[in-house]
Amino acid sequence: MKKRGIGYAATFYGTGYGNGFPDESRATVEINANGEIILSVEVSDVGSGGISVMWQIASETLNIDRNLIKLQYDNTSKMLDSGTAAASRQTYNTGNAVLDACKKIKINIDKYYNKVEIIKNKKVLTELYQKFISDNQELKYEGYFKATTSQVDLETGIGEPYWPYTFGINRAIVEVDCETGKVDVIDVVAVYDAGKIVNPVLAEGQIIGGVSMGMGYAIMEEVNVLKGSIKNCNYSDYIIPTSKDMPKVTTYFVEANEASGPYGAKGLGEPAMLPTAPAILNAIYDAIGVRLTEFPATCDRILLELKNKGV
Amino acid sequence: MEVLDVLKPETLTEVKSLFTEYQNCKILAGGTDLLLDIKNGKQSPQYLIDLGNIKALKKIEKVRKDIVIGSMVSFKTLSEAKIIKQYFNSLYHSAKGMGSPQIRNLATIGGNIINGAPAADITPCLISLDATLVIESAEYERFISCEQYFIDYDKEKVRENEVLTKIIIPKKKRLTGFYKLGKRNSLAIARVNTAISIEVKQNKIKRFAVCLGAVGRYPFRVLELEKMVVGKSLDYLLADEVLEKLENAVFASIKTRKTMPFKKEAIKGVFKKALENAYGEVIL
Repeated sequence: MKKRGIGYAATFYGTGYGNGFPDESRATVEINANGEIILSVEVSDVGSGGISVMWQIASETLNIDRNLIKLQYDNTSKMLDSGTAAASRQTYNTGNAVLDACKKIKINIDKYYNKVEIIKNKKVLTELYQKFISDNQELKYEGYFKATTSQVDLETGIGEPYWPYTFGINRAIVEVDCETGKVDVIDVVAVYDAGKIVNPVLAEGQIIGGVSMGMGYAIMEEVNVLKGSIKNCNYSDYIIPTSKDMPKVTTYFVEANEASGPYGAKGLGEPAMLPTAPAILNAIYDAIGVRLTEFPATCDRILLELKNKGV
Repeated sequence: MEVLDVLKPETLTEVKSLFTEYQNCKILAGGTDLLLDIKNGKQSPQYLIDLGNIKALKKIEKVRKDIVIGSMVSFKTLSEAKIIKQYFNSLYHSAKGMGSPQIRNLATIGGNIINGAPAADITPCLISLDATLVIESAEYERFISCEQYFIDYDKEKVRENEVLTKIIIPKKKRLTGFYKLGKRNSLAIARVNTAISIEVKQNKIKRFAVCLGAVGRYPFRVLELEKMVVGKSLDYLLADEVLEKLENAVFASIKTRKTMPFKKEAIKGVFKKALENAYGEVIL
């Protein structure tokens, strides 16, 4: 017999390095003779979508079409340090540095171009460059951002270890086969407050990827260690979800403005997977009354627990 | 030791003569297991005889009262062949759910049998369907039931000068079903699997076969249970004493294994799922 259950779990997650560790990002923006804006930002995009996000922030701030903005990234000999693509910090931290650099050049652009229309023509930028040269304006501008973070006083609990926090909640529906112990995740609804969402399509993808990882963590992934060595260090035996295991995932964003973020944005990377596994375990408990305190909820564990319970 | 050459014969006769010409050779079917074994140093043949060019081994034919499947028929072909779906529901489902699309394109029915994995997907189906294996060498041709092949594996397994060419399955009217419990829904190795075959006469079970996989070195039938249900109605297959027989069979097979407590419990659920699969709808 199959039984269904619903489970919820919520998360709040401080982004950035935190606890007083210096968390700095830098970016430079430059106008050149070819009628291009060169944005140099060390955003190492390992699938996070950071490149698109930086590009969008620059285009929005400068009021210049993104095709006229050339983005340089990844080559550390050509650009300043923006920190790591880690701690869900690129959109908020590095995005702020890009915003800072763009605002600086924008002040000078505005002196020569004050129309509301977005700049789409290369010629406009070439003319701007000429005016920058003739008026002896700086061509290159540096942006900088340092996140608010302080160590927590362990005695008093006072301090600001992280700024800002991202909030999220998952609702998972599972189906448990009581005769084989197999768990199928049927449906996941994910709701997040990650501030203003810069790129909704990427953000939705981030959530679906997070749900997939969270689900693997909840019901499949297991590291088998024997005498200190991992026995399943290959994808053939370290089992992660496939497309055939994925539930339907629906995402909603509560776009509460984060005043300190670029256009109100916050980080989403890691929070995207956090509530899924506990929501699934709660749903399993709801379905069959078995409270698992260990990951993953494999068919072995579930079936033996059910038997011990005498269900 | 490295593989020195990959031989690509066009006919079966050529294959047989290669056995005498070359020493330390190994037959390459789909390669989804063998090539990994070679890479990991578990097997080290000097020559590979690739059967991929032999068209005669890639056919599925109706021959009188049997269906004859060539050993080089891929899982993709098997899962898409109308004749398989029509006569052997269990085989169809097993082939369809094996590995991933990429593996199904390459892996063959013959390779799955000869590799002799405890959790092989196809073998329990073949045993429950009374399949016969045709094994040939330059001098002779031998016929052995798939069941006997694995009971007497050390004696009966293909020798260095032999090649599995065909699998013959009697085309009888029967209800057949298969279920695999894996760690995920695709690209999964069976934790436990079961294939069943039921011949019904006047609403009574005339003949019943059940083969359990991944609960022992090789898949095996539970003869005691099979005898017990003859003459009974289909409902009886869900009786407690039937399920108990399955549990006992698994316990006897893997007594000392860590997974025994789970597998002897799971077998009952997997058996029910195989029955559901045979009946074609959820009735339990």
